[in-house]
Amino acid sequence: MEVRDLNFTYPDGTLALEDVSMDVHAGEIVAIIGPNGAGKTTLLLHLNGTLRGNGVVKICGRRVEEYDVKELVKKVGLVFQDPDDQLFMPTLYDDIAFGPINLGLDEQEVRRRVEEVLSEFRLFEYRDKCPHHLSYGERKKAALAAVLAMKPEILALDEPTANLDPKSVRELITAIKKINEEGVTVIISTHNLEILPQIADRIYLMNKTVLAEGESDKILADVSLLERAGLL
Amino acid sequence: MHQEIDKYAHNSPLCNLDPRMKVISLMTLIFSVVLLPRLELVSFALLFSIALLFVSRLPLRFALHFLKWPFMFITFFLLIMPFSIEGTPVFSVGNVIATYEGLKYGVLIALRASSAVILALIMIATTKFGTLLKALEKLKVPNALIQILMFSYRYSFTFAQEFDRMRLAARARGFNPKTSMRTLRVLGSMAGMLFVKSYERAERVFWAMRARGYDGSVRMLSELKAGRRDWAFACFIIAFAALLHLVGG
Repeated sequence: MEVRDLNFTYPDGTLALEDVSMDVHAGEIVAIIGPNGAGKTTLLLHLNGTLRGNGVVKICGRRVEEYDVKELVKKVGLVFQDPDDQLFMPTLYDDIAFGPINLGLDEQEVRRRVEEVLSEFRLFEYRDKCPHHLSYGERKKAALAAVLAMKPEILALDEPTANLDPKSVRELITAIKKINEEGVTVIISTHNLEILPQIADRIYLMNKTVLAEGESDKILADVSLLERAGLL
Repeated sequence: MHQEIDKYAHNSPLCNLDPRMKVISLMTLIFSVVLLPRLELVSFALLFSIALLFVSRLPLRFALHFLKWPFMFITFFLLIMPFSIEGTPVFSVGNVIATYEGLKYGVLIALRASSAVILALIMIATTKFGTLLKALEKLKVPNALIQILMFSYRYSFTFAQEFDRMRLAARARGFNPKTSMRTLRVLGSMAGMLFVKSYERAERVFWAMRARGYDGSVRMLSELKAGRRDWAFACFIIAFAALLHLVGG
């Protein structure tokens, strides 16, 4: 993934991104950190073409504008912060099947993928439940499972650990690492600094624009930098 | 907290029936009932609906919980109709006159409507909501309509929860609802807040759907199979619907 000089202003005039440039190489886990309102979510929404700003966003060497919507969705899987935004079908099974069906896969393949992620995330017993009957942690897992069932090459997670208890956070980190080992590039937006050393190969620190980039130990050790970014 | 309409959809004898058969046969019966011209036949149809409600083993409390709103509406009709048709006077309130024809027509409409809502409740409450949507999809109901039903169902719970949270938060700050202008203003701004929140949520839901390849229609996998029991049920209900009109004609 490659982002060059990306600018984005919301219709109400709020500047969200200013000359953002960023590179994520295949197979990496990269974290984007920054305070609330730093534009992290806005940036992620550019990766699958949901928002279109001024500048260049390239996925696998091609600009997002050149992709057909479905092709792009196959490349970049985006997990939203609030699972209630994502799980909308009457049962969990149907919700996870939604993405694969849209990719035009045949019924057998859809069922295979749904059952695979359901058992991987230990959600199988909830398959016929409606999303609003699941706990927040389960819904969060389900939202991730639903995106993984589409087998994206790049997985972008918006605040994956927000509101989760420590056990769920640990499970999530394990899951993300496993996904990454299977060859998926991972981009995480977060302000949970504790998890970064365990998970991120590199960090981008941003507040509207990119303030710093580097290995997680180096960035996290620089307290004055984090303070200047408004994060600490 | 919030009563869910498919809460008993797993322990009713009707819940394992093919939902397509249920929808087609009960809809046929509903149309047949609302078009019945004679009071005796409509009463008979209402008795049949109530009998079916007992067969469905939906708890009565649960059924009444959902039926009380349409029944209130129906009662309103029952009160208005006698005064709005000309004919033989029966009694009068002030200088408005209730007529025999109006009374008869009011009762007819009330019985038809009661029967229809009971049948509709049986149809909906003995089927898991997701299964019902799948049946509608298989029956070629327009996808937009299915999506509207799907979203209303899913997000009504989310919005109810959001509103509950706001109410609790207001109470935690000492808000005590009374019959006063201030209470109305506070409730008004809460409702306004809920609108803004839902508007913003709608946008995010749409983004999330597009991120999973949404192209305007929602397709579902289903494994609906109609067996002999399903056909038997459907034939029985439709035969009854037809019989009501054969007798009436």
